[in-house]
Amino acid sequence: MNGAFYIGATGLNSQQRALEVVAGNVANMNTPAFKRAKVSFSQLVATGGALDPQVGPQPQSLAGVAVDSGERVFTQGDIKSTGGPMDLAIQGEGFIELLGPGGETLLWRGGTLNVGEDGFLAAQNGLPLKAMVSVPYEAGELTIDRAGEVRIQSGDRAETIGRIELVRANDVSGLEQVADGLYRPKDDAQLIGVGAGEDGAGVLVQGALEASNVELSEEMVLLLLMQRAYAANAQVVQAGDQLMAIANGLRR
Amino acid sequence: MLGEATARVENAAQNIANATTPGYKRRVAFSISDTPQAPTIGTGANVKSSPDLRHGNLVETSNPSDIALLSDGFFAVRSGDNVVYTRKGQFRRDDGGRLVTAAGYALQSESGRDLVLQSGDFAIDEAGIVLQGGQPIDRVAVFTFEPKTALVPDVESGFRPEVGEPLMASKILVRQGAYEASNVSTGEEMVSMMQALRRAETGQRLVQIYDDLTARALTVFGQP
Repeated sequence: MNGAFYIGATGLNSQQRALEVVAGNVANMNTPAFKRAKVSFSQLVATGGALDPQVGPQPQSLAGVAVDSGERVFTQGDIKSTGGPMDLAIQGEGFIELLGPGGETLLWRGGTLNVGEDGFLAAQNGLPLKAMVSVPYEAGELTIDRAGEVRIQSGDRAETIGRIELVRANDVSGLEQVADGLYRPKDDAQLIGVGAGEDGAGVLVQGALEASNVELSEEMVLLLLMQRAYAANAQVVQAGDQLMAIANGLRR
Repeated sequence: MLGEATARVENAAQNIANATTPGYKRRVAFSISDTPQAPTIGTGANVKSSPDLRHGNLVETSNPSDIALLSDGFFAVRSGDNVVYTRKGQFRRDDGGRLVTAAGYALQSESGRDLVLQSGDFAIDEAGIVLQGGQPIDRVAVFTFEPKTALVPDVESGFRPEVGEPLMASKILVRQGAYEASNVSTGEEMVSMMQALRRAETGQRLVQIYDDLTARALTVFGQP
């Protein structure tokens, strides 16, 4: 059968998936702490082609293009000051650990905190911080400093009730994205626990949220590029079709 | 002729599908027709392709793990025993501090092993020397081949030499923060495709005319 069909089909498929990635990025432009996904293309090579004894080996046959999407780019987003005392952003590398429903560790890039029913500091989605910071009932103002010390105002003094530490992942591709902007470390991912501000980790900024790291201009350029690439691949499929029509029309 | 046209269209299809693949080198199709070993002219088997090693344009990303090779030659990337020579400069850092491609092939350094980085930032200067904390720790290996070495396409927009060993390149010019895009020009590929299609049509007409003539010959000479 005509290889142009299948090669063109891989091209169409790849550009479509790349477009989906761009769409996801643009849709989440205003989501706090969103990390954009990156698309990488690579050519497909089919191994084990037939050897032609007369002309010599042609071992690899070409088979189109494949796209590997879903790799996240973990560059820092802008820190936008909001003034909300329960907003927490991380400036620099690192994640905050949350306790997932099954006792697993989930990584979080910061956002709005609240105090759960059981009195522990939790993220917006209800998952408590692994640091298990217990906030006393009717506590006063809550402050979190750059090193992660959590203090409340009780009477005249500031009392330390806990400490939020960060974890750094050496290889960020070992993290997979689950819902709500949380990341789950895969089995072989190495996580290094550090204090905020130490050893290359970032600092915590209270009263601010981290914006997404989506660059609209880049995504728009990619969008145009993919549109044209898609059209070019469609032409290829049409050419393959024409060839087959010619072959079919040989016998009248 | 139909077979040859099909092979040429397939070649153009492969190039167009990879028009956005970084580091991809377009394949140029050519016919072998004047040697005693050549297969019958007109079948698809006498159309071979070889890579066009012109440099593609640079795409700036400001990503420190993206490296572009401005001079001739290839990076070497290795996975297990498999070494592939490629100009695709999109890497990421893995747990062990190596620079790996999306498929897990590790960039090789001049010392003959994987390039290993310590934690923290790194810079790669124009000569390919890797600096961390201002200190040079290693150098990116760049290889070239003897002219007329047959290069077999492999994964990651890369090649393997059919025979022969690679040589260390003498002139190295590297740029960090950018990668080399594909060198496919979709306009050229469209033209090749159109030419191939027209040749297929010509072939079709030839077959039909031959068929006509044969029919007429049978009719005329078959009459008693």
